[in-house]
Amino acid sequence: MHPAPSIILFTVLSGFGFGLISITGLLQFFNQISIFDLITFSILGIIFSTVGLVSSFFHLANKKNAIKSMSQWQTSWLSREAISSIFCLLLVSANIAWVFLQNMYINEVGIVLFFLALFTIFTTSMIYAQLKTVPSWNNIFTPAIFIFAALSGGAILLTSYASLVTLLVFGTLQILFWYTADRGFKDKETSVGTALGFDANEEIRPFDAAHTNQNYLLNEMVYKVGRKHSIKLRYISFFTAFVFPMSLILVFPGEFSISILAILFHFVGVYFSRWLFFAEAKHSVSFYYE
Amino acid sequence: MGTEINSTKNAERVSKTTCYMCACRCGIDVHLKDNEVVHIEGNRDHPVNKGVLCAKGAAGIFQHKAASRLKKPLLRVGERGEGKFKEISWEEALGLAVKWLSPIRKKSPEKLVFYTGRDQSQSFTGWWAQKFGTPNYAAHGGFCSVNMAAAGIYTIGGSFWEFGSPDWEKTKLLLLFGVAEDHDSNPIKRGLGKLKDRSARVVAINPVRTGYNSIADQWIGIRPGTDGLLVLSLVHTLLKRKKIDLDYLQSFTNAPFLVNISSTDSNKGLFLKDKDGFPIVIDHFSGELKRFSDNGVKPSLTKSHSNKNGSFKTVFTLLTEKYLDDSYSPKLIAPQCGLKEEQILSLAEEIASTAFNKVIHIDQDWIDFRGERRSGFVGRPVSFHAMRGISAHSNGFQTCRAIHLLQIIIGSVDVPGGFRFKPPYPKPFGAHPKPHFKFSPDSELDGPHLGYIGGPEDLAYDENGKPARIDKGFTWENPMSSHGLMHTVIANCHSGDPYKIDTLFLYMANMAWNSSMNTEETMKKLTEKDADTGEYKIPKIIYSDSYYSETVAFADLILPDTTYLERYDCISLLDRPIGEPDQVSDAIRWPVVKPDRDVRSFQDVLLQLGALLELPGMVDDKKKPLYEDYSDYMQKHQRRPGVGPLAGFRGENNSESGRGVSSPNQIEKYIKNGGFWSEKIPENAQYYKPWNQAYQKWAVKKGFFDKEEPFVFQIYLEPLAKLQNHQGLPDNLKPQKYLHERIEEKMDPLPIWWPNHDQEKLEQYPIHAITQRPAAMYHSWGSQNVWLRQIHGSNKLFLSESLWKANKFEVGDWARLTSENSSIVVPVALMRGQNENTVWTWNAIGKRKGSWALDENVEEANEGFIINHLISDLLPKKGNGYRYSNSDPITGQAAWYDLLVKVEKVNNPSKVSHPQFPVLSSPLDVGVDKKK
Amino acid sequence: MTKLPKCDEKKLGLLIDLDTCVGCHGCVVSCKEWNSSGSDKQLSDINSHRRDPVGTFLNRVHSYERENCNTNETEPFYFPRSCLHCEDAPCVTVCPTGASYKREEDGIVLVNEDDCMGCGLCAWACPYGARELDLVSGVMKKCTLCVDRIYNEELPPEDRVPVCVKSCPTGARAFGDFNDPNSDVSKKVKERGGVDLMPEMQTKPVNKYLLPRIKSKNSAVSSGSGVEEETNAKGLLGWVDRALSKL
Repeated sequence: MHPAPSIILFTVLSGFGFGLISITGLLQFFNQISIFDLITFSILGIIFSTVGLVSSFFHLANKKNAIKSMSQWQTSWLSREAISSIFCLLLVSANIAWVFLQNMYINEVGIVLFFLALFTIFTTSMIYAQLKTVPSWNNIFTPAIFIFAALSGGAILLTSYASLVTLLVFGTLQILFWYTADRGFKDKETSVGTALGFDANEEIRPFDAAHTNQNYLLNEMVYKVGRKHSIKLRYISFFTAFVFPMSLILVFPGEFSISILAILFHFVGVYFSRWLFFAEAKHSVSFYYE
Repeated sequence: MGTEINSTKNAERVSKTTCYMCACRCGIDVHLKDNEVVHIEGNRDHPVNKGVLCAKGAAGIFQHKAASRLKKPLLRVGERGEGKFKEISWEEALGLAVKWLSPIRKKSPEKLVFYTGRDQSQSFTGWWAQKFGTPNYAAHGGFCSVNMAAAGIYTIGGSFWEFGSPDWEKTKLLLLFGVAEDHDSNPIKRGLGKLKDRSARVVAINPVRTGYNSIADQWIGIRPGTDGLLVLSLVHTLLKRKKIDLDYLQSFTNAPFLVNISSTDSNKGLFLKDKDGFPIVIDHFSGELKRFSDNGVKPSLTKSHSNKNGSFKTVFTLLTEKYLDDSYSPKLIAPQCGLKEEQILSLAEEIASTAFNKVIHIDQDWIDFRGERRSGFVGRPVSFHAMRGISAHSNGFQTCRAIHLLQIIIGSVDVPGGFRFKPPYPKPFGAHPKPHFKFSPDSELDGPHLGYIGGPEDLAYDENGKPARIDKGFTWENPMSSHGLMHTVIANCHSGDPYKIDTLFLYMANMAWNSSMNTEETMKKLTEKDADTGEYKIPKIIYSDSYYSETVAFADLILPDTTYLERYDCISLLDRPIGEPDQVSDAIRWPVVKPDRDVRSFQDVLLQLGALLELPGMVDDKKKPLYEDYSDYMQKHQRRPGVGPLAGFRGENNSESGRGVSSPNQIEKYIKNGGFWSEKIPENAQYYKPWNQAYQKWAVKKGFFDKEEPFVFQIYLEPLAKLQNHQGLPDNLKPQKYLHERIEEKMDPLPIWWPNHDQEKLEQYPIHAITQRPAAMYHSWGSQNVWLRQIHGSNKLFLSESLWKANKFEVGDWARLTSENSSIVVPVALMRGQNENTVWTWNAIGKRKGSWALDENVEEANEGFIINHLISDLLPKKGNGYRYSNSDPITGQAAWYDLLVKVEKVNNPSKVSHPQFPVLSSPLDVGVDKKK
Repeated sequence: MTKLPKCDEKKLGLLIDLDTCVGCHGCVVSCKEWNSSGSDKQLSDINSHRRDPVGTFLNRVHSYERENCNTNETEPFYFPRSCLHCEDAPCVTVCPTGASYKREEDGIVLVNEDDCMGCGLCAWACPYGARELDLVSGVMKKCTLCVDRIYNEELPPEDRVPVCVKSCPTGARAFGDFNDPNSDVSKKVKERGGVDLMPEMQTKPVNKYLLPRIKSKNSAVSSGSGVEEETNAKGLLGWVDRALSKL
C-alpha cells in the first residue's frame, strides 16, 4: 500500500493525542495527576489528535462531504472512528473546562475518557484490521500495535516505570506484528490463480500491460519496497521506538526533559513503524499486476 | 438515491454514419447534443458490425476532437522537416497548388506523383489522377496487402479480407494464417464468437500467440515466412491420402486444362485452346478434345495429349507430380517450419476428416455455367482466413496462392461452411482492368492505373523500354504489382529513377514515420537538396492530412482535411466494398457535425482543384465545375451508364439498386436508412457463385459486371507461365538479363515456396523480427488518441523464453536490435507464447517528438519505438550489383516481415529508445486535458 | 445505507467468457465512452497529452500467460476486470458516508457521488481493484452495470444492456439475472462451470467467469485415424481415373 504521509501522520499523531488523553484519563481516575498536568496534557492530547484528524481530512479527495462520514456507524469503522473521536474530543474539552472552572476533577470522568480514547484508537486500527484484502493488517496485532503505540507515548510523558511496561508490550507486539505481516498472503489461499478464477497453484504471469502507465490502483495499492531496505527500516524503527526510549527512562528515571527526548525518539520510531505498516502491506489487487 | 448517476445521455438526436477508425467501416450511431458529439456506439442494424464496436471505434470521439487536428492550410516557412509553417487561406493554398500543377499537366503530367495512404475513396482519387493524366497513382495497397489481394483475385477471383470471409454460420474448422488484428476486424471477432458458441474448432498458425490466436483450440507457432511450406506439405499429405474433391476439381477449376510441356515451343507452359481462345480438355469418357465449357463435358484430370505443337499434360497431373514429391513430406518440411511432423500430419487429417466426413448439404437446386442442374449445395466445412503474416513476406504471393490451392483441392471455396465471397466478388482477374500508363501532355491517362496483367504484353514500359511509372510498378521487377508500390515512391522520386518528377502529392500516409521502410533514410531523401542548384531533390511536396502527423513537417503545402464525422464519403462497390457473404452492401459517411476549423474534406478539395485545373470530367463545356462537392459527385457521377459510386436507392423513385439513373435525393435516402444500403442475395445464388447462373444473372442485374463472368479457379496461373517462359518473347518485351534467373525461379505457375533469406544471412542475423498493431489501435488513421494512449502508451520488444535466457535478460532491461540496415535500442519483455526464433512488438506506438500535439516528454516519443528503421527498402547488392527492392518479386508487396535481426543486451541508463530525432516544431499547442 | 440488503429478487451481473475474449479492449473504451457521455459526471483524464497520463476507467483488460501443466504449453489469455457486484460487498460496508450502497431490487453496487468524500477506503476493501478514485472530481467511480442503460426506456429494448456487453465484438460478455435459474447466464454458468474470483475472500461475487477451454497441441483427430493407404503419383492418377468414372 502506498505510504501516504497524510495517513501516516494522521494515525501517528491522532494515536499519540488519544493516547495522551487516555493515559491522562486513567491517572485522573486514580487521582494520580495534578490539575496543571491534567489540563496541560489534555490540551496536548487535543492538539495532537486534532492535527492528526486535520491531516486525515487532507487525505480526502472530496472534503465537502466529510461531515457525512458520521452517518454509517452501524457498519463502518471509519464512521465509528469519526463519531468516537468527536465524542472523545468533546468530552475531554468539557473535562478541561470543568477542571479549570472548578479547580478539581471528577475521577469517574477519567475512566470514561480512558475507554473512549482507547476505543477511538481501536476504531482507527479497525479501519485497517478489517480489510481481508490486506492480510498483513487483517489480524489482532494491528489493533494491538495501534493501541500500544498510542499508550506508550502518553505513558512516557506521564509515568515513569509504567511506561517501560507499555513500551515492552508494544515492542513485543511490534515484533509479533512483523512476524505475522511477513506471512502476508502465504497462509491464505489467495494467489494470482484465485484472482483470475483458476486454482491457487496455477502458474500465471502477465505478459503485456493492461495500461502502460500508472493508474489510481497502482499508485494507491501496489507499492514495492525492497526487502533489504525494509529490514533496515525495521531496525531503525525498533531502536528508536523502544530501545532508546527504554534505555533513557531506565538510566534517567523521572527526568521530564529525558522523557521529552524519549518521546521524540519514540515518535520517530513509530513513524517508521507506521510507514512500514503501509509500505510493506500487500493488497490482493496486486495479484492482477504482478 | 443515486438514480441520477449519469442518468441519460440526453442526446438530442442520433446520426448514423460510418466509422473510419480502421478499414472495417462499421456502422456507428453518433449521439449529438447542442451540435456536439457526446457519444458513439455501434449501429445494431449495420451489416458489418451489428451493433458491436471495437476500442478504436469507441474512442472515435477523441479522434474527432483531437488536439492534433490541423486548423488551416499551411505553407512551409522553415526548412523541410523542421515543422515551421505559416497559416494561409484556402484561396492562397489552392492558387499555389494550381500554380504548381497546371504547368505540369500541360507539359508532362507524369511529373505529378499522387499517392494516397489510408484512403477510402480510391475509385475517386484514382479517377482524379487519371483525369489529370499522370501514370503515377496508387494507394497504400503495395505496402499493405497486395500479395493477398493479387493472389486471391488471380486464383479464385476474390481474396481474404474484404472480398470474402469464412462461413461463420456453418464452418466446422477454421484455419487462421498470420492473422492478427486486421482488416475486417469486427466481423472476424463476431465470427470467432459464433464459432466458440458452436464449439467449432479454430487452428491458428502464427509465430505469436496473441489476440485471435490465443483463443484458438490449437496454436501452431510457425517460423515466420514458412507458411507456404506448411501448406504445400498439407497439400502433399492430402494428395497422398486421396483426400481431395474430384468433382470440384473437375468442374470448377483449371485442373483438367492441358498445359503445353514441350520445352522448345514458344507456347510452352500455355493452355491448349481452340482458335477462339477457349480452353480445351479431354472428355473423361469419350477421350475426345472438347471445350471445357461445352455442355455434357466430363473433363479428364489425368489424360495427356500431344499434337504438332507439343505434348500436353493436365494441370492436375502437373500438380500431382509436383506436390507428391518427397521434398514436401511433413517429415522434411516440419523442421524447416520449426514444427513437429506430427503437427502437420494431424492437421492434414483434421482438414480431411472435417471436409469429407462432416459434409454439409443444403437442399437447394441450382444451375451451373454449363446449364446443368445440380441438386443441392454441397459444403466442405473447412474455412481459411489469412492476412498480413502471409502477405508481408517476399514469398507472400506464392504462399497465398498455396493456401488457395489447399482450399481448392478440398473443394471449400464459396461452399457452405467454407470460404465465401462477398459481392461484388467473385470477379476473375480477366474482368478487372489491365494497368494503364500511357500519358501525354494536357490530356487524361488512357485508362485506370491499376489492374491485373495477363502477361508480359501488359507490362508498364514506355516506348524506350523504361518503366512508365515512378514506382516501377508492372515491370519485370514486380509484374503483378496490382496496387502499385508506394514504398518505393520517395526513394525513386529522390533519385529521379526512372525519371525526374516535380511534385509529390500525398494523402493520409505517414511516410516520414511508421509507414516507411528505413524511416531515417526516407526522411533524409525528403529533405536532401541538390548540391548544384540548392533545390530540394524532390522539388515540391503537397500533403493532405487531418492531423499533425510526423509527415506534415516534410511537406511544403498542407491541405488540412476534416475528421470522419465532418465529411461525405462513399464506401462504394467500385472501390473496397463492405458487405457480407449473403448480401451486398455499400455505405456513406456524411457530415454529422460541421468543422469548427478552416478545413475542407480532401475529396472536395480534389474536385475544386480539378475544376481550377479544368480537368476533363470535372468541368463542363463552359469550364464550369460539374460537381458542387463530393456529395454531388457521389450522387451524379456515373462510371458506366446507370452505375455510380452508390448502388442503393437509384432511379427516379429511388426504387432501383445496382443500376439506375442518378437520383438527387439518394444520399438523403442513405441517411434515412442508417447510412448504408444492403440487399440479400437470392437463396439459389448464395453459393458456388463463380459457376452459379442464378448468381451471375443477379450480379449483372446489379451492375457488378455487364455480362456474366463465370470462370474457373486458376490452380495453374497462365499469366505467370507467360512471364516465366520469357525466352520466346519478342525483343521489346524481354526482361533485362539480370532478372532472368529470378523470373524463371519465382514465376512458377503452380504455387511454390522459397526461403526469404540465404543461409549466410540467417547465421549472422538469426532472429525474425515482426510487428503487429494492437487491437485497440490497429490501422487507425490518426494513431494518437487520448484514451488509447493510456492503454498502449509505449511498447516493448517481446522475446521468447529461450532468447530471454540466452541473453540473461531481466525485467527492465534494454536490448540492441541490429539488422543489415541499422540498429535500434529498445526495452524488452518476456513472452513465452511465441516462436522461439522470433521477436515482436506493437507497431506504430512510437512517435516522433513534437508530433501529434503531444508533449515531447511523452512515453511514445521516449521509451516507445518503431522498428521501421531496421527494415531496408532496398536489399543488399547481389552478385550482379543490383539492389532489388525489399519486396515480393511478383507483386512488389513490401516485405516488412522478412526482417532478420540479432539481439544483444545493452546497458541503457538514459531509458530512452534509440534512434532519436530532433524535436519537430509544431503549428499546434500541446493538447490540454478536457472533457469530452 | 451501507448495510447490505438481501437481494432475493434479482442478482444482475455479467458473465465473462475467457475462452472467447481476444483482449481487444473494446469493452474498456466503450465503458469509458458511455460513462463520460452527456453528463457532467465524467471519467477524467489527466496529462492526456503529456507524460504519465492517468485517467479513470471502470473496466480493464489484462493479458496473461498460463503454464498449462497438462499440455506443457504456455497459453495466453485475456482477462477483463471490473466490479463483480458482490453479494457481500466489503466496499459497501466500510463506507463511512453512505455513498456506497447495494440496491435491494437488483443487487447492483453503486456510489452516490453526492455523498462520497473520496476517502478511498472502499477501493482498499475491494479485493478486485474494481474502484478507481477520480482525481478530478474527487469521488469514487465504479462500474454501474450501466444502470442508466438497462432501465432506460429511451433506448430500444435490445440496447438495454451494459454498453460493454453491447459493444463486445466476440460476444464474450453476457448480462443477466443470476438469481433466475432459467436466465441465459445461469444456464451457461451451469453448463460450463462458471467460477468466482477469489472465493476465499467471501465476497460472493455475482459476476461469474468462464475459464478457457482445454486446448491441444495437436489436432483433434490423431494422425493415425482413418488413414487410407498412402499413394504415389501414379497410384493417385489411377485412383482419380477410377473415381471419375463413378462420379
